[in-house]
Amino acid sequence: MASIRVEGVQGQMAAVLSNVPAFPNDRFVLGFPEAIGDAARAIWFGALKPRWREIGDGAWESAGEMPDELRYRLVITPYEDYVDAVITLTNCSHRVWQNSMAFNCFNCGSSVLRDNECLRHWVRVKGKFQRLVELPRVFSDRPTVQLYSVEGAPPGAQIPFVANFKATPADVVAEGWMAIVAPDGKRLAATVSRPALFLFQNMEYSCIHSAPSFGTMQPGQTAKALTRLYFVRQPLGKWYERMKREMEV
Amino acid sequence: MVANEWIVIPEGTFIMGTSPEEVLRLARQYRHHPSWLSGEQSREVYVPSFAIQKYPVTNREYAEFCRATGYPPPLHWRGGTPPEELLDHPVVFVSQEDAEAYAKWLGARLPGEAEWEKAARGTDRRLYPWGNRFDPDACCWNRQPRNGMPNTAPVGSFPQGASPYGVMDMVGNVAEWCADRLNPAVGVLKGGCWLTRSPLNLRIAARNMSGWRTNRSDMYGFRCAKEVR
Repeated sequence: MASIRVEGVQGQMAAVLSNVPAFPNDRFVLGFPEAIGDAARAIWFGALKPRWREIGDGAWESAGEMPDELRYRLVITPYEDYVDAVITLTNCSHRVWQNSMAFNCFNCGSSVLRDNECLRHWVRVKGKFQRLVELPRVFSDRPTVQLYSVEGAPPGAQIPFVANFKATPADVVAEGWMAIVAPDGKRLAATVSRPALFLFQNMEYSCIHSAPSFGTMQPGQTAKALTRLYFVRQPLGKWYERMKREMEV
Repeated sequence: MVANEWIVIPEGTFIMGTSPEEVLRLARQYRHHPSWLSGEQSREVYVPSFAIQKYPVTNREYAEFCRATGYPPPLHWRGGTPPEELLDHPVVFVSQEDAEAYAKWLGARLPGEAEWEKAARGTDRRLYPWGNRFDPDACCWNRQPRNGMPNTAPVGSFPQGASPYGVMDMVGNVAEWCADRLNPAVGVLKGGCWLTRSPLNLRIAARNMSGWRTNRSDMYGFRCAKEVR
C-alpha cells in the first residue's frame, strides 16, 4: 500500500501530495501539466479545465482536451517513496508536432526543501553533479526562471517553447533530472522524466520541472511519457545510483 | 510601535550595480557562476532628491489603509486584521499592485530601483547598507541552523544595519517592490528577505528575485517614496 497521498484539485491542473515519509510535515503541489502539446504551440492549463477522479489504490487520473488540437490523460500513482505521473497525449491537430511535451511543475515551496536561491538545486552535467548556481545562467526579463537543455534532446534554442523564455544557457546540457536537497543534506526530492525534453526552475516558487518529451507526433498519433518524483532519505549520490538503475536516463 | 518617518536622500550621482571586477570576486567567494550577477551592470546614475520611508510598511500601517479604503487585506490575516504579535513586522503577501495602491493612498509612490539602491548604499559603492563586509547581526536573514524557523522581524530591529542615510531594513526582512518593471508583468524586487540564505543575495545590487508583479508572496513587502519640494 502506498504511503504517499495524492489528491487532485477539481477544475485545476493541480494535485497535492502529502503523507510523504521523507518529509512528514510537508505538502507538495503538482501542476501537471501546466502546458502540454506541440512545443511550438503548447496549450496552457487555463484552456484545458482538467477533470480529476480517484481510480483506486491511491491513484488519481485527470484528463483534458482542446478540440482539434489535443487530448491527454494523466495518471498519478503513488508508491512508498516516489510518485509516477504517466501522460498519454494525442495529437488531434492536422499538423506534425516536431517536438511535443508536457510542462510539469513540481512545487517544493511549501516544504523544508524550499530554496528560492537555487543553493540546493542539483543537476548533472558532463558526468558531474553541480549546483545550479555553479552553472552559467541567462538573466532575462524574468530573472527567477532558468531553463536547461538535456542530453538526447534538441538544444533549447531549437525548441520554441524553451527559446521563448530567452533564459537557456547555450553551453549547458544536463541529464534529464533536477533535485533539491534538504538543508540537512540527508533527504531530497527530484523530478525525472523519461524521456526528458528540457529542465526548468523558477526561484519565485521554488519549483522544478523535468519536461517529458513525446517526440515527433504525427496527426492522430498517441504517445506516452513518464515523470517520476522521488522523495528519499538518501544523499544525492546514493539516490542517483538507484535512479539510474530504475530510469535508465 | 515605530513611527515611519521620511528620510530625504540628497540629489546627485552614484554608481549603481556591480563592477565586472567585483562580479568576479563575489562569484569566486560565494561559489556562483559569474553570470548569476549578470543583471547588475555597473553604471553612473543621477538621482534627483527624494524622500523614502525609514522602514518597510508594517502590518499596522497596512491595516489602516485597508480599514480606510476597504482594500482587501492580505489573505493570511484572520478576520481581516493582522496578528497582534506581527503588527510591527513588515506587511507581506502583497503584490506590486497592492503596494502601488497603498502608496497612492498615502500620497506617495514606490521608489524607483535607482532611488532604492541609492537610499541603501549612498555614494561609495558599498555592498551592504552598513559597509562592504557582511554582518550577520545587521539584518533579518535566514541564519539556519538556529533556534526555530526564520521569519520576518519587527522593523528597526537591526540598528547596525542602517544605510548611510539612516534608512533601515533595506536588506533582509522583506524583499521590496520598486516601481520599475522588467517587462509589463514582472516587477523589480530588491534587498533579499528573511528567507535569503546567501549573503550574495542580500547585497544591495542583487535583483534576481524580481518576479510576477501580481504575485503575493510571504517574502515580498515594500516601502514608499515621494518627491521633495
